[in-house]
Amino acid sequence: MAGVHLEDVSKNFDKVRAVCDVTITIADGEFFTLLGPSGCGKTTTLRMVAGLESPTFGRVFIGDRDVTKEPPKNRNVAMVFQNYALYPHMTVAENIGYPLRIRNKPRAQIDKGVVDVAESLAIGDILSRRPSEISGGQQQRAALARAIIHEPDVFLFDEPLSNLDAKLRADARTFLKDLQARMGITTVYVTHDQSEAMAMSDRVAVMDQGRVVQVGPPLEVYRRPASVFVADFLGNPSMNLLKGNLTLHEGTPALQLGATAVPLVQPPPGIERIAMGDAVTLGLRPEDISIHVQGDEDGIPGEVRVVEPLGSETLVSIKTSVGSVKVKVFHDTDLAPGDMVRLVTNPARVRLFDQAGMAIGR
Amino acid sequence: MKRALCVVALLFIAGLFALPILWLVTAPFNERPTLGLQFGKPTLSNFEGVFRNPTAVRGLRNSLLQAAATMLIATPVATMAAYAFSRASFPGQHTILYFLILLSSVVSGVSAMVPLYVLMQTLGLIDKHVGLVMVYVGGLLPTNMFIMKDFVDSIPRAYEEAALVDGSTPRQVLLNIAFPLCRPGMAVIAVLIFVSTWSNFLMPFILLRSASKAPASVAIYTFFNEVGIPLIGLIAAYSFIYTFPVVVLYLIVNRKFGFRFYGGIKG
Repeated sequence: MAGVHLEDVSKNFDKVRAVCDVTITIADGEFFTLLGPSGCGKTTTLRMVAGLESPTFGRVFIGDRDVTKEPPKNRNVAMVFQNYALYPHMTVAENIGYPLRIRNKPRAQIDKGVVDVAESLAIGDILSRRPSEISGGQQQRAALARAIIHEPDVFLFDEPLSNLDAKLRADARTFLKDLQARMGITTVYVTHDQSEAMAMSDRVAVMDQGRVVQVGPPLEVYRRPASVFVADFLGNPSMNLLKGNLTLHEGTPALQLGATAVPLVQPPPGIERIAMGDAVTLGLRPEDISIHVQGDEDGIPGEVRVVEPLGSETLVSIKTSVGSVKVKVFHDTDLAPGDMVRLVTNPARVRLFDQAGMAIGR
Repeated sequence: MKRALCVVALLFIAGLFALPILWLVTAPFNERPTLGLQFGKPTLSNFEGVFRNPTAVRGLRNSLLQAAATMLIATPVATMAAYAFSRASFPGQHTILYFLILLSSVVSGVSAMVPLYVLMQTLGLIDKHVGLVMVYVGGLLPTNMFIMKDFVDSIPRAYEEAALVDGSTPRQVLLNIAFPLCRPGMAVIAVLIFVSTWSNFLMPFILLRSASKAPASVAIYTFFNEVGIPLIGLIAAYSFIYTFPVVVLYLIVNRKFGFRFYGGIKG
């Protein structure tokens, strides 16, 4: 059992800076996710924790131990690779038992360990097969079994679910989260899938171009994105971002969106630093907007373009003078393309970004 | 009509290529073979003749010894070198590799014959199996290293990385993971090395002096009589035996390794 601490870690590949000044502290037993688009440096960061890459600058700690210069075998970590990397010339049982075999454990202990772990992951019946003879889901579990058998201090996952089909992936997600919670092993999980990150993590670090742009519990990152990038990356569909200008409307700060002035009912702290008339971006989650059909004079006017019923919710795309807005409606709706509507925002959930794309207020 | 013409043409070409092989499998069993293809009453008398010739029999043994020794040395060395070239990066990597390839065609070629002979003589390795095997290994290494490097390049590094994280030392990664994964590639270059050594004529002809050390490719000369007339029956039978190990080796390797699909990596 141990936490993980990265201190000002950077990694250069030739002239390219893959990871830049990353400082992260992961608590013992925490499920921590590195989230970001491909090429953002999340996998490189993970590989530096594993010891497969050495940082150009900075230090890596596991527990209290500085492991920056230690080879992977001295770190007592386990890793599940995106492609599982099961050794093709060994049976599933030999694969799972490999970490014990390499530690010179007695034969009987290895055999028992393999059977126990395999049973607990429901792959006890395929132990004598080779990796090429089992399904993707089974390969994923075999890789997982190989990772947990020697009771590592830290689990490292590199997009372990991205090769599974949608249904299997959802099941594996639940299974993995439960397994991690039961074992209580510190976990660093890399994914580009924001729904995976949201669903599984205790905390998420969103990365962009080698830097960590925001760290926090998933819901906080979701609700209070620190930048336009995070707002856009998280959520499906992502946050609506509408460009406007800060104005005064009947004495209170408001946002001028086209012809409509949206009063800021709860102006965020820090709004003072924005000058009147400056460009500001309004961020609104699709579920924080309600559609008013008639009567109301408030809100942003728009025209319904597309209605997509998804079963549990309906996604409505609305064209306004300041851009297209997506709204999630959780009740049945008889909206149809061409309907004229007004969009009313939930003032508590409004997020404002300055010209540089950084959030105003915390 | 056009199709029929094509078939006839193809049959003609196929026949052209099949003739020598047909000769090779029929002539040894013919009592009075000529250089033409003919079928007679099958007999084993030619083989008896071959086995009565001690130089020829020893030639087969020498060939086997030289080819096997070359194969057993060159295969692992080429594999290890290829692994290093594939996985490590060091300055001048590509230059060295291509320079070696270039060199290999020179070393194993006729142009290097004189310097090689002088070198071997200086080292006192003329008329020694060791000397011949050294020349073979040196000549065959670069090409086979290159083939092997291509093979190693195609093995995903994730296997080795997984083994490292699982707790292996680099040496254990090499022995437990990398070498077993290289086996199909090693089998291929082993056959290539064996065959090119087995069939080489020039090197042993020049570097070996005594008839007792000559491999089969050179010993076949003992089937010419005093005035240089070839004893076709014996030559045919000897050639037939000479081809045998190579064919068997191909069959074994193909059955055991063949082209195998590797699972375990899903991509």
